[in-house]
Amino acid sequence: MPDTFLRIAGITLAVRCRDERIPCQFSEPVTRFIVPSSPAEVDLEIFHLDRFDPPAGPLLFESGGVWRIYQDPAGYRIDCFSEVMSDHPYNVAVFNDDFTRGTIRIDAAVFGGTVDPLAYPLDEVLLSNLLARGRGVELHGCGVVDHHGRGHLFVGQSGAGKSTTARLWGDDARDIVSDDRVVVREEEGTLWMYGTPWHGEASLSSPARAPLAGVYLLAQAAENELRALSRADGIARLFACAFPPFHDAGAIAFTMSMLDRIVTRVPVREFRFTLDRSAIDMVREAA
Amino acid sequence: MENNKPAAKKTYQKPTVTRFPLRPEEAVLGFCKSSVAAGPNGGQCRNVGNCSTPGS
Repeated sequence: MPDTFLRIAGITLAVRCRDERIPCQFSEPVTRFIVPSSPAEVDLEIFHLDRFDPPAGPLLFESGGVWRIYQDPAGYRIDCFSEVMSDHPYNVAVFNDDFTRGTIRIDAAVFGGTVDPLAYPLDEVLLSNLLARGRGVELHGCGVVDHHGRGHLFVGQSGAGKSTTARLWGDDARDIVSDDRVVVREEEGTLWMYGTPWHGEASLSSPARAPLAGVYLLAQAAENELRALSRADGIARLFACAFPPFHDAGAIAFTMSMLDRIVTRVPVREFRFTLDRSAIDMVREAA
Repeated sequence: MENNKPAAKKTYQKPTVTRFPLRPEEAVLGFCKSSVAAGPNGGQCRNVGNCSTPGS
């Protein structure tokens, strides 16, 4: 497989699958994020995991099952686990200190066919670490671009109504950049809402971006209502729907500063909503 | 001429603590998203640890 270039949230990643034992293949919707060969911020080489060597550094964070991160002489090491092989990881990825260079070793046999070299959770854990080093923040949210090109970000945990919101917008949306994972970055003084390949139940995903016009913290209710939030409440509630690398104090500090910028620069409100079109009409009128 | 009147003191407001729920398994990407390709199982999630939570 030739080198593949992905651009996710404006970050270009070169994925080099040059080991013939790894039949790399990206599937939908990741393929929508493939771009022509271009200078990459992140360079990743994919190899077969020939043997498992125990981590050389201390454990920094345990996710609770599917991945762990260790300190490593090269920088960091992320191990991904599956019940298929419970004794050792199916994926061992070693990165430099800023996660811009990485070697990912994969046990292809576990995949039983083609291999997604950036299969979840490695893809999002990598992006989380890249964003938290001065680039932006990934939020659990649904990103809607209206016909004026404005980005409306609906944030909430699982079950809050993100995919439902995406469906309710229907033709009133020019684009849904994701119904589950949205990245916010500041570039040239503007806050941008970026789509990601990671979607929710509505399977909506797009590499598009739009200037962020407003953030709505989802809360299902009997009547539609937009409630203003204090700066502190807004930051706290956004933090509960963010994906920062919790092992890294500097990364947490940057994430908090990024959330502060969002709350300071665009309206961040609680959106108490009914599960019907009237809720969308309220947002369109308020925007 | 400088105005030497002391600035009015702000009224003291007792700090309050507000708790917001954080779902650890979601926040740390420690669960299996059923709607995306997750690990070596083509998105079916059954083979990846802690995969009982839907992803959206």
